Amino acid sequence: MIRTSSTDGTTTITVFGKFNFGCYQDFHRALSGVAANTYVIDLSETTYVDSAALGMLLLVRERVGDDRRRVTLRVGKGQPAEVLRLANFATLFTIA
Amino acid sequence: MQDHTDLLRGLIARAFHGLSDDTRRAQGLLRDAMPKVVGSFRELQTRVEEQVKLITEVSAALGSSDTGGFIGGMKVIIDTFVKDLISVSRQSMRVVERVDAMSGEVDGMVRDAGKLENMAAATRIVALNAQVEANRTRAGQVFRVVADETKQLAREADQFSADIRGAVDRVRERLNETQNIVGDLASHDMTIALTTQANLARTVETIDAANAELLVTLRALQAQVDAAMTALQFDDILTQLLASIDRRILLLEEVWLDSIAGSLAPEQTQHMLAAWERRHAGLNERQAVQQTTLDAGAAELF
Repeated sequence: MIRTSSTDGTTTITVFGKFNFGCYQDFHRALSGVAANTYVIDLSETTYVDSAALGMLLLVRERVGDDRRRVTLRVGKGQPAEVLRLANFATLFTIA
Repeated sequence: MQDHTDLLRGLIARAFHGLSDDTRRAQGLLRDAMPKVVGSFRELQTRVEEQVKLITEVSAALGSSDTGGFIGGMKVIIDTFVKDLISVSRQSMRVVERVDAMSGEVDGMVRDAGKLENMAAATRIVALNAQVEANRTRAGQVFRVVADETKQLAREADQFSADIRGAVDRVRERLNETQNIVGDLASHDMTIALTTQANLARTVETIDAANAELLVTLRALQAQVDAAMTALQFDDILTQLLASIDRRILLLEEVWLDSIAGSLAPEQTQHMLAAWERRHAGLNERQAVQQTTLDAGAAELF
């Protein structure tokens, strides 16, 4: 499940449970509905991410001109954190 | 009495010969055995050195995750695999986005088909009006032709619209299929890569620990073999001692035969005693080995 909220030019997209290709339509809709200056992708409630999820995160980054500072990933523990470390995403996103 | 003396002389002479023979046999055995023992230890020493070299080479070939080698290579393979996987997923999601955009275009085509159906409906009304006029006026024949043609036009417009809708439905179906295929292409379980990376790290630790332990064991064995090789040099000491024993036995035998077993005059005995004393002193001087333990010998000889 995906929940979206916007405050002061920042859109926060929270992903609950599994983040995979099955989330694409909801994730795409959440992104298409706003033209934010910065994005926070909250993965603290996410239990699993696959490579499709990583691809979707990279599309968010493309939306802001590949500006690392404009996309923050809020990461919890477990598999999502491990996968993001393995993918070396700290060099591409701001990790909170 | 003379017979007893002769028997005793013969017995002692044989005993001296026996002693001398045993000493020489001991020297012979030592000469035969020692090269084999030393050779075996040298072989062991060589093998241990080879093992140490091999372990060192294996450790260097495996390398660490930072210094290249097999393990470094494996890390590069995993990193490359992950990078490629992410790249494929990124491109796949781009394609999915494009397919989404194409779906939007297709929806536009459906809307256009709807307009065509509206136009067909309007055309049918025109045809109906023309039919009414044909029945009402004298110039009915002309209006009938118009009505028929208009009806035909409306039918063709309907058919065309239905064809478009059919084609659009098929395109939409294909687009959905494409999106699902690309979605499958983008979706890979990263846990495999994570597990592989963790396994590699564990394997590196295990191999490093095993190599270190093996190296310690081999170095200890090497030290023991070196110590044994040094200790085995006692054959020099033994050879010298046995030679010294042999010479003393010969002197003793000579003394026995010339004096005790013989019948020397008192003045001859004095002379012979002095000569034997000199030879005995000479034997003591020739004796190179004085130590009684191997440790003392090691210090003296090596």
